[in-house]
Amino acid sequence: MFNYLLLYGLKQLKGQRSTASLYHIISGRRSTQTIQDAHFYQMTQFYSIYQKLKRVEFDQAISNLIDQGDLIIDDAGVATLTLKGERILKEWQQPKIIKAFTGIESANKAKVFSDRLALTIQTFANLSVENNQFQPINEDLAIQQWVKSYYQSQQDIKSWLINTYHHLTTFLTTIDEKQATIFVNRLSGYRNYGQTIQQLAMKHNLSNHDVHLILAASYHQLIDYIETNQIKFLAQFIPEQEQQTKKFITQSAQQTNRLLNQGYTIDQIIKIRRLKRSTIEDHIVELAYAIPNLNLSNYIETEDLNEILEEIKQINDLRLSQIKQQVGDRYSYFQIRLAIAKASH
Amino acid sequence: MNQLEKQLNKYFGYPTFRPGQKEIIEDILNGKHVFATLPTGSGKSICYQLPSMMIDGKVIVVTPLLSLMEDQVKQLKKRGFKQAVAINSFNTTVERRSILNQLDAYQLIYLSPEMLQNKYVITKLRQLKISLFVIDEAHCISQWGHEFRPDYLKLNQAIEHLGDPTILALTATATPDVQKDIINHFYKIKFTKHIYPIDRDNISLIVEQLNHRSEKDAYLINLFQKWSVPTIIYFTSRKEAERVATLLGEKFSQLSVSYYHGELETSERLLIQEQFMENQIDIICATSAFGMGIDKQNIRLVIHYHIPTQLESLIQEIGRAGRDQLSSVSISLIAPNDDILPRRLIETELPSTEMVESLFASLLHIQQSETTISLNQAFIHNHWPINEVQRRFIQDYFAENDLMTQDGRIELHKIIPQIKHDLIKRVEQRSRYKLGKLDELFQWLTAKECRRQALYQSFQSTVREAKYHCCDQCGFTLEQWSPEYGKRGRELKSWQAQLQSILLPFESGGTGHE
Ligand SMILES: [Zn+2]
Repeated sequence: MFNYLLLYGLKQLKGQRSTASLYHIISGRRSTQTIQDAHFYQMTQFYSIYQKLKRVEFDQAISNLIDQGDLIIDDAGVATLTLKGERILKEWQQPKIIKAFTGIESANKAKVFSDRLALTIQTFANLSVENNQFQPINEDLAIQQWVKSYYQSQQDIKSWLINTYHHLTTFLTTIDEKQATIFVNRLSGYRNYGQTIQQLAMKHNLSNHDVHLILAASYHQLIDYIETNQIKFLAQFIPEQEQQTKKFITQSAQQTNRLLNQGYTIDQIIKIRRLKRSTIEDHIVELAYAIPNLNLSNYIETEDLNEILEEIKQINDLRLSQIKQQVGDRYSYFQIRLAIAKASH
Repeated sequence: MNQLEKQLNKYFGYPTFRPGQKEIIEDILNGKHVFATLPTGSGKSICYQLPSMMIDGKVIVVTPLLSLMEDQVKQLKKRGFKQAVAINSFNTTVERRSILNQLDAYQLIYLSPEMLQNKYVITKLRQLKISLFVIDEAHCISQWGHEFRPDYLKLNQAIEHLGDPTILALTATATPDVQKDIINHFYKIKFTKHIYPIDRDNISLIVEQLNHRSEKDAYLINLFQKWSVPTIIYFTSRKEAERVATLLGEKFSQLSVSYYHGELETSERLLIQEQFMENQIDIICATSAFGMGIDKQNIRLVIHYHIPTQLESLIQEIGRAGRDQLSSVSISLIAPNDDILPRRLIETELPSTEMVESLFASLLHIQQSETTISLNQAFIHNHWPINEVQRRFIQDYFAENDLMTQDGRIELHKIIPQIKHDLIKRVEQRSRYKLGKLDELFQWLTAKECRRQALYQSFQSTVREAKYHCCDQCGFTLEQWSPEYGKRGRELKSWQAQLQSILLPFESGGTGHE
């Protein structure tokens, strides 16, 4: 599954970006460039699905694919699929769970959701048999604090456990048997600690990466299940959407956004924030990606915007230099980038 | 039940004390300074943890083992005692500030020795009433101890600053010479001594001389065909730990085998530790990172696939077996050239002559433009391929010889060529010492006499007789062994059943334990 993801992602890059861009997308790098790339190459659903992935592990996996003859790579680090790679990708039907990833909006949501749910299950299972001496599986203070206050809002933890048990059973029967087993193996309860990623990989004969992705996908699917069936008490575990969108705008871009909303111009913001023009422009491009209805009329006429959008469609290449060549010098890079951002929505 | 036992039961759930604990605690509560040697696994920490829950003032514990203090704080919290805290380099500056600003909320405060050099920390501590000051791993004071820590030499000063509280100096492995060293160092303090033998009479000792790594693998496979008891197998190399864990896991599908080393993520390490505690794991293949602070009672077998660099470490690792005092076994596997790995390890713990030369060349160069410079990691990494242990060695040397300013910067005008020669001499001396310790270990491994006598005789005047079986030299073979341990029910098959046991433990009424 992980290898599939790599082949798929590199194909999407169309030989226009180095493999590092793919790494940044799946590990969820918070930079304007990466967010742009994710939109450009239609991989927003994979953005940030594997935050823990280390660069060395990614590079190792790429070089394995090269050794297997699925990829070739040039000096600039740009990879192209070989015929064999293309064939594998075609034969390897997109597994259902890959579709579970729905992109930027849900990436962080699933992580927080799974952390809260797993720690609540462990805590409640222990308290239900009156054991308050256990090692919490999650040491993140924010998660612990959340579970604590959730616990204080609960009247009857046994009914909570029974309810959750029924919902999880129903949910797990809708997914693959192996996937369900991995999901349950990972949970901790009373005097029973969940399996590590390595242990699950060993047991199910998968790579660590595959186990990670399977677990992440399961939680995405579970969120979907909870939302579709409107299971209110479990929906509480899903963090607020609004908070999430904000997270995909860098802190600095958020500040710029505040100033723009207060009516300051780019030139004024440059002075106020003591930043370079190019930085402020980066922020605005980033905002254009994150906020679909952002008003761009201060930077580009609607007519011009439409013209660039038309050109992009025709040449089907998202490299800035290519587009610039096509539309000529009439537009600045900044304007073209804004158009590309607009095109992503 | 008397008062102390009641407290022990209340806080820890043990009905009785282990040998030594009660005597030590009574002396402490009576305000006597105590020097104590207690074997690994005898519950040293109870000696100060219990008083901290009973007495009025604060208890400070100085220990160089950062993971141990973190583990102990975690364990205490797990037991419901929240007033324990660890202050060390793991904390971020913000965390440390916030802890120090509400220090009064804690009863038991763990500190790394270098934290006591920090003026701000001392100022904060001085505002508290310190009733007990614990020096854990007290052998670190001795230059001849196997883990000498120059920071420990400054503890006298800290004790004075804190208004001369009651002192408890604790160690698990100290030869009589090292014991004398410790007591002499604190010449102002009149200690009541509690010397308990460190020999473990319930652990039987075996050394197997084999010809090759493949024979070690075969030995293990043969062993686990007959025995399946809670086991730790120690390795020096992470890769080997992983390899053998995979090998055993494939060979024995009915056994649960895992590996553990410092490269694993903290949250995953935590799961493995707890699984081992709950008997979910039968065999753990680990580096020396595993074991400190793990209070598992029924480990029956400790195997050394690789040996450490000195007897003291070996004794500590063996001592993790059989804390419940039931019959347990230690097996050391050795093959030709097994000294290569520990020798290399010793090398990486000391700076090389080239490193020292290069450092001094740099310092002499900087001398022309600067007056002081910090010997921090960044500085060193830019100049030499040097690791943290080596860096500390150099820094300690500079500190001891008064070449550093108050805030830990090198005073460049004091750097003269003679210092370089002295430092190189010190490295050579230390290296000889460590290689000597390694030789001692090999002498033990190859000796023809009783292993128990040979292992413990330098630490105590008499060695007790074995409670169950002595050692291979005295005629013990594994065939004579009948270990006791609580078996765990096998893992439930279907995910449905597993989910039920996790979410509804009150219905199944079970934990999976037989
Ligand atoms: Zn013997």
